[in-house]
Amino acid sequence: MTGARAAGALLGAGILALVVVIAVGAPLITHQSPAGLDIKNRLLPPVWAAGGSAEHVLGTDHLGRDLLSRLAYGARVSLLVGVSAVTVSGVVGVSLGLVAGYYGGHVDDVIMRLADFELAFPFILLAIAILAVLGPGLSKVILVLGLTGWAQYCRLTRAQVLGLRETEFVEAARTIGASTPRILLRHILPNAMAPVIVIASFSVAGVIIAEASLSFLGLGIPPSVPSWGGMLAEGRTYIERAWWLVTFPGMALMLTVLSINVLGDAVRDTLDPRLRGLS
Amino acid sequence: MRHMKRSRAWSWLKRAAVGLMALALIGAPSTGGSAAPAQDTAVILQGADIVTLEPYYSQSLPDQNAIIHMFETLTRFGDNLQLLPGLAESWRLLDARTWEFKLVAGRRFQNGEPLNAAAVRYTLLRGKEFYEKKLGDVQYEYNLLDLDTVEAIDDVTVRVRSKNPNPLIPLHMAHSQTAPMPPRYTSQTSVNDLQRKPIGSGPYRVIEFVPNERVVLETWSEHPNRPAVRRLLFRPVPEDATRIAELTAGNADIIVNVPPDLIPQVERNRSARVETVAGLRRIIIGLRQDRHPALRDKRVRQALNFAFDCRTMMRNLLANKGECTGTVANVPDQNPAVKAYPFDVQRAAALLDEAGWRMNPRTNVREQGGRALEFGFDCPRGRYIKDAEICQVIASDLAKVGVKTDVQVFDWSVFVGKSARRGAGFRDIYLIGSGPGFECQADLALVQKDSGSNRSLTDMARFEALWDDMSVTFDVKKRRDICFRMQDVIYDEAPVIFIWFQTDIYGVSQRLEWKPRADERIRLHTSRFR
Amino acid sequence: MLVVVLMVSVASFALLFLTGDPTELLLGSAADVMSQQQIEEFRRARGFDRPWLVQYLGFLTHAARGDFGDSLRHHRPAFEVIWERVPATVQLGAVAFALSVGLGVPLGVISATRRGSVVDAGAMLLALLGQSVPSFWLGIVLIMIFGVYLHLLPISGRGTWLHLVLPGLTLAAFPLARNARLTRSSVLEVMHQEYVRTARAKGVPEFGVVYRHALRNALIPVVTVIGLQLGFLLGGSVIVETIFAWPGVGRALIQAIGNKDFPVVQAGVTMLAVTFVAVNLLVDLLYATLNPRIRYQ
Repeated sequence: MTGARAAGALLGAGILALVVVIAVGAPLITHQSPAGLDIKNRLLPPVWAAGGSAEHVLGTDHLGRDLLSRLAYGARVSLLVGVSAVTVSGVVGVSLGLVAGYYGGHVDDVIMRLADFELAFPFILLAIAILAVLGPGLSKVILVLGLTGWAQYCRLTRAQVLGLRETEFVEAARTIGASTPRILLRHILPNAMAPVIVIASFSVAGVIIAEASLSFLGLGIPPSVPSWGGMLAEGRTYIERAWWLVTFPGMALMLTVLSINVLGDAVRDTLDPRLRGLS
Repeated sequence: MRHMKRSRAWSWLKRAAVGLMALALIGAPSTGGSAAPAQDTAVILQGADIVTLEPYYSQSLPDQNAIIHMFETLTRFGDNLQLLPGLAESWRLLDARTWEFKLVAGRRFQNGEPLNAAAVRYTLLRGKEFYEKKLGDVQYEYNLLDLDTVEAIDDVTVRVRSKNPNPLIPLHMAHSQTAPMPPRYTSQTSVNDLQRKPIGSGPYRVIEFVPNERVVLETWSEHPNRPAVRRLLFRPVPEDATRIAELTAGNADIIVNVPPDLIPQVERNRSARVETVAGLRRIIIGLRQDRHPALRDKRVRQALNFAFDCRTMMRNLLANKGECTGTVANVPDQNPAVKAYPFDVQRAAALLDEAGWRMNPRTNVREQGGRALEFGFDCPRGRYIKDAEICQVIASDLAKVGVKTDVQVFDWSVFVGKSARRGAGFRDIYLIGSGPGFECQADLALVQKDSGSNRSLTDMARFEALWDDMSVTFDVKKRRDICFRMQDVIYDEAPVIFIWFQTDIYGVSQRLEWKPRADERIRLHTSRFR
Repeated sequence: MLVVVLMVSVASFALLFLTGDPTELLLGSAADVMSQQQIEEFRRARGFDRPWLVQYLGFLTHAARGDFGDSLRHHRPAFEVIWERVPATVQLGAVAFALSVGLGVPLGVISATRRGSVVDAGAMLLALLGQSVPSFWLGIVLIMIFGVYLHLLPISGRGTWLHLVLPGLTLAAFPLARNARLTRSSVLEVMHQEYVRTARAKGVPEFGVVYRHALRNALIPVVTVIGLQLGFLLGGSVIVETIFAWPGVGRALIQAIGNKDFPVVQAGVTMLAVTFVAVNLLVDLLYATLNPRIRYQ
């Protein structure tokens, strides 16, 4: 990696680290409770605007809850949801994709049918059904978001594997007598991972926004638990009246997404030996 | 297929692309939807689609708002919800089970068929048939009507006999599902066509029905009271922010359900205004008496009412657009001596202490005998004004006196499932709205022990004694007395946490003269453009 | 392929059933004044009390003939309820698809070939914005700017071609950003591979290198993802349809799910599954044209 790329990756990692720190250290940043309702002080603007108060640096939401603390505690929830759901989908999808692409035949057929099924099944219906049966809650939301994302990793990985399966270095490894798992893990997987990582880094943001969509439809995390997605959904009617309700979570989301993107690029570069040393 | 050559694949792709484009063009949008409304058309934006225009197939409000312009009923509710003559100029009780209605003479339907007693008879018996065969959506109304026979004595005289004595028949004749329909047309038209093009006797008839997009009504020249607004255009716009945008951009004349917070946004605009009306829908927190033992104690229930700071919530959350209340009866049956519970945290704490629920300083939750004062709190979202928010505010107030609640918010369809079978799916407490009964006893059925709408399984001895009394009293003044006393009992027993009667908030363009009604109907018969 | 459609159909029926039968929802406030026995009668009359497998088989035999039954809410054929919304859905989907591919892929290619430049940075910034704002937020902001303040475009509903602009843009934002990014990374990767270096060494002009050798292979993962997106565009556009009051299938499906309108849910889900299968075929075809080296078993 050259200096510029490394600097970029460092910045990305830095921002992400900051977000994580804020998430973990939320109670230290603000003494306000994210759940503390105070409807006498609802829709207060940030401290620097007219009517703002030092008690609530970033203002309050439509129920009088402090925005800064909701942002900080919300970081926890959003990051957790994003990372967990993507990890679940990713692990399941990539594994199935590797197997399907390499072995082919009946195995491939079955796995592809399952993937088709997952893709064809409307996400919303699955979300409504699961959440209606299991009840609302953070873990169930993660389950729903995880279960509805694996097929894309599966298909993507499979497509990559199909292309790589016949290349020279894989042939070489086979003639040496390397075992299948070794071939899969050491030779094919690293080369197939590049688009997967890009999609995964997209998906973290996508999942956080999907959680906002679930909140928009009234299906997400319970209202007392703060999350950036939930804040965006709840604040949408107040865009004109109270811009701070959507601007701050939106910015937080954007910065987090940016840092994950940059990091994703850097990880991809490291994994792909052919790109090392190129500017 | 998989071994297809590249060129073959290409040609298939080209064909597919053409096919897709053709599909898209088939449904080329009609050009009838320009943004700014025409001079003679009032544009009404509702929250849901109009599904059908046939009264027997619908109870939903968006449908009703179109239906009430196309059909007329024997009686009707005036702007102050007083019962007025409609197609019937008078009515009287013949015997315990029979009401006789005298129709206005010389009226016709929009297709020329005569509007006479025979048509009324045809309509009511059709409704009865639907009810018995479980067709359409007439279960509610025809259950209440409980019809036995309908006779047409002469062209203008109809006798309606119910299976049991029913003093409310004239009231029920204001319901759109009793609106006379032309016998020949209705019996000869398919069900599908009737949904889109029914014929009534009202001042408007339908000229355009594009499902999911719009319904256009136009005045009928031969109606004796032709309205000033020539055309009505109904459109569904589900999102609050979008409806308000349309109003402020000048594209709409009436929009429903303006959130209280966005009232300033509408009023800031000189081309629009906000109209409110005190509604008839009671919003309460039901307290189930068959679950947590604490809720069986009257003192606990009273304490919950004292702990809830209703006025602050009304002022801050609901923009002061309504009033806190201490009763569940609608005007004009409200007992004026019954006011809302005052906000009194000390009194709440004292009552809870007295009931044996002591504060545990470690958890800040009250306990008795090892059991915590903790309730499961079920709440709908988006069904009533600020429902999810109201739940959270109340939960917060209750927490301050040591009552812990676990608020869960549900989509309406799931919530309705829980509310079925007398609230079998609810946990301990729940927020719900209940429409008016249009009469004291019907209103108070909300808390009567056998009533289907009593989802808390309340059973108040003093109340039940008065209820039995009222059921055999026909003198209007005596009924009113009992009605007032029942409200005293309800206040004292506190079977619910009282909140308010939901205020309906509409946005209206300045070019339209129109006032809202308490029964949520949007009626433009007497409106006009300025 | 039919297997998939069948699986989807069974699963959705089962899941909907799990959440309770539609009796109380259909009766609405009527249930309050009816006795428990009357409610049971209603349930029996409509056949909701039968075990779900029986109900499903009953539905299946009719569906095979194209008859999905009557909508419980709309009192007319469920198939009609869904089918009449297809043109609007296809239009919106087509516009969003065209924007996301027509703008997204070239943007990605340009960024890759001018890597590190201002154009690259600008494009990637746009992509970032596109993927990190939720569609409902973007939709409302666009309405405010173009519909209310500037008064340039219609806000909601369907009518002229102008009505397609705002919802189309909103729906296209996320896929556009994704396509741009993916194309860029894919092209970059491919450009540095052996055969591209070989072509360069041979003296093939840059244009030829990029567009003939690199692009074809770079597009493979992009095509995969685009294929997946079509499913999303057709069935997952609920939010855009809600914000802009666009009469599409997505919203009909959500309402049907909410009303437990089994026939309409089945009709909708089946239609979506069939569409999805058709899209799969197209994607397979596209693979075949892009890289004849890929061999299937």
